[in-house]
Amino acid sequence: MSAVATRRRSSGAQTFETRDRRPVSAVANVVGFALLFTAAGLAVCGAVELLAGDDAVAPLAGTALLSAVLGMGLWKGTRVPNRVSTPSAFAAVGWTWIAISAVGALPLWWSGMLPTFDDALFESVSGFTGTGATVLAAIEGNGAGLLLWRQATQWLGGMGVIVLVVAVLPLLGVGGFELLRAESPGPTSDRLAPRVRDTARRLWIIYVGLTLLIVAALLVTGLSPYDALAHAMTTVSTGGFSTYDASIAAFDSAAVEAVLIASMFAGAVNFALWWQVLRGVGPRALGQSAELRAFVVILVAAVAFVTVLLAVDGSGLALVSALRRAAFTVVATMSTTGYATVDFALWPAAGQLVLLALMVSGGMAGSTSGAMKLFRIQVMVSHARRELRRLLHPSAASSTVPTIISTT
Amino acid sequence: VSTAGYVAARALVACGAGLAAASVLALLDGGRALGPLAAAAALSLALGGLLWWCCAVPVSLRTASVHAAVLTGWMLLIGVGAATYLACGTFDSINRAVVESTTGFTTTALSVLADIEEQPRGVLFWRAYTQWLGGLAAVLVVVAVLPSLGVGGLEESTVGSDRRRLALRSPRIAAAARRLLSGYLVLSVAGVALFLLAGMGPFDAVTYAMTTISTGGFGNHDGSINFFDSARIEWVTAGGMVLGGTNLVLVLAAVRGRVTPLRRSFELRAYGTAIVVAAALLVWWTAPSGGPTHDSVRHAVFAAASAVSTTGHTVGGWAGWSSGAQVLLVLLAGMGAMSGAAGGGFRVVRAMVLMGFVRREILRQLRPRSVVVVKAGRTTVDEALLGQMVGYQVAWLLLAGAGAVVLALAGVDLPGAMTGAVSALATFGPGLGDFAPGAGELPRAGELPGAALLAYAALTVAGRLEISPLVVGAVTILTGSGREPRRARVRRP
Repeated sequence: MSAVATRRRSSGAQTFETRDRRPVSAVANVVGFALLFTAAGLAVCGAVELLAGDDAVAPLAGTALLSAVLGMGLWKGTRVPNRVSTPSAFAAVGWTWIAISAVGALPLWWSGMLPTFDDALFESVSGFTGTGATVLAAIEGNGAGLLLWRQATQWLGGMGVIVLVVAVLPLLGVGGFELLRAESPGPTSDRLAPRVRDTARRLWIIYVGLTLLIVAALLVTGLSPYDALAHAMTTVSTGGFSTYDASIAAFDSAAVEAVLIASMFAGAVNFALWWQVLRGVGPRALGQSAELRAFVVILVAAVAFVTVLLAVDGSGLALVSALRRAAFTVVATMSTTGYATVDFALWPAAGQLVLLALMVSGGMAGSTSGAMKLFRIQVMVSHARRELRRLLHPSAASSTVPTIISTT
Repeated sequence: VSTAGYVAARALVACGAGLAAASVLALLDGGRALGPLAAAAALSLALGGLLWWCCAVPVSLRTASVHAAVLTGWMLLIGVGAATYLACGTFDSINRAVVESTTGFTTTALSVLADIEEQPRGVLFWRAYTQWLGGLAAVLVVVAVLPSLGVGGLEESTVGSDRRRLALRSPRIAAAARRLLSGYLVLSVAGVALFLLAGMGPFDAVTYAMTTISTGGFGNHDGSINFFDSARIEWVTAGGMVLGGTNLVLVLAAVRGRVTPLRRSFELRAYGTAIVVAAALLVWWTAPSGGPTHDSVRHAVFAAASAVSTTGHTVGGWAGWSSGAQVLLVLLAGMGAMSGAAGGGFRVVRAMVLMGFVRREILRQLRPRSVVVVKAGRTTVDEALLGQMVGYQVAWLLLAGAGAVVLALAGVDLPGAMTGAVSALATFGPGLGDFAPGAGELPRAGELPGAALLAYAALTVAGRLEISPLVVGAVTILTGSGREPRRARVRRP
């Protein structure tokens, strides 16, 4: 009797959970839940494959089932600790990305779309991380559902599967913010709401909303619903996969390119700003975001620079078509989307170097775009300027951090 | 009292001494180019002497005016060098004369001189002397003057403790300058002796020692070191380059037989490790099928020493190596030599501190409340100093990026522009593409458009002066704020 009492006292706050004998593991729990989402995505793609009458239904459905069973087992078989420590939050994020990449690769390999599992894994990782590099020699000719899954990996990876998990997973009290911070693509994990779960939900609401808007806009330009959805998913996530061998050049339409330019830009804008827009904040308030201003200024300057380079290159390109190519490529590069309408390896070296610099910089913090993020670059430049200014005026005080729009 | 005049006087007198020596050589060489060299020597000695006489030694000065003076001094050196080339008829375009003079004084191994072997000996000596003087000036400026102003943050060679003001004639700075000068002289004399022993003629031994110890990289022959086709000379050159990239204070300590500073220097360990690891990798990557030969090993070690010390001598034509090996060389040059050495680049100590900084930031991600200090050897790096280093690194990277775009705009090919910008900032010289080394020098670089060469030369100045004197000095000169202490204005919001 006394032994039990001692144990109760020592186990402190956990006493009310003593009946739950499942092992405590934040990692397994989060991985399991993420696999459930993967399964859902696979199931939808399987249905599309079935409707389109293509022959990779079994790989998609089979992987969906496998992923669902595995995920259910991991999720239901474990429970989350009361406090998720930072190292285990990092571990959970790491294992989640490994697990979904492996599961995502399975149908690509099983269906014979890619000959080896290595290739399939490359494609899957490239998809979930929003990289957009592909080892697929011929994209067209594969099943509609299979290709849609390839696009969906980018969409799921773009906003971050972990954000989705945090948004939906119950019982993740204190650990949620740690998880979000561990995955967060930018230097700032803005809180859109006092509760982490609400923040994650709002992020996904904006993400889904933007995706639907892009689908609608692409439908207006005359794309089929399938093409519109497939490209909206890889545009908002700034991923860059396409269902066509020639990428966006396959449409050969200025309207599609215009829509995609706007959409890639939207995907590379801090989602906290979109939340402000939803709440009805006017353009003047948005203009206070130094990062947004820098983003727009750099984009315009880069487009102008590349347009001039292409126009005076001697290839006899008209100014308008030089502008069209420059604008699309610059926005696709800086947002780290990577869609292509032209082969910029043939451009003048200075243009290629500008693209390289934009690639390294990337879009805004808290967006789906990759790379360093403008915010960091701004802080770095401001820091370097301050150090130089200190040499000129040793006693001056100056701040490093550019103004960020308040998000609370 | 004028800081700029004080610095300029010494720069001119140093130039004059070199030009006088070149005139003597010209006399022995049958009088070729004697007139212009002697005239240049007389002019710069006279002007320098006048300035020396009329400019009092400043007692206390501001950072900004020191920077401005340093910049003025360097511009003067480059001007004298270019004027001498033009007077001797070495170049017929001002552009090329300025580029050759700039890469000379910044100890960069990019030469636009064609038919080197046809040139009079006086001119060749002067060309090597620019590199020798440039290396010395860089050491003195960066090590003796700037750290005491809180610039650069090379803790091992920090001289003064007051960060805002200094007395140029303070005993500590004068002693530091003397120590560095004697270390440099000892190295140079040793270099000459070793080259003589390895079988060079006296003239070649002196000039090659000057361009090797200063980590400059010019040569008197079209094939540079390749001309001698001698393994012994190549090994001596490799050793000389390594020494040129070593902290002169440590060199002097070694000469005096004191081992403790050597043992204690973490930077020396890292510098040595970098060279050994790079050499081992290159030996492995460049070995011909059938295993490494003496030639391949020697060429690999030579290239590693040349890159880490940012000298730029090349043997065996590393343009034929794999791109991985070539990129490694350019990156090593970017990391650079030790602090307090004539070599350039980002400097080993800064690279190490920044790695410690990265390590700390990763640890902080995992344990947000932990307190971790960044250490350089056994000393803790001050946070303000760390901020300076990060700022310097950012400025360095931005400048490299901007430089690459400018080079590309001026007509350099893509690999050339990217590696050339890094190589120039590191005062190395060779790179990939248009800056690929041939047998000794950079055969394609001389044919580049003038704008590209000027941009390259500007980058070498920025790298040699460690950026801040260039920026702060230019701002100070342009805004005229370099005059002596002025009451700080209160800026109203």
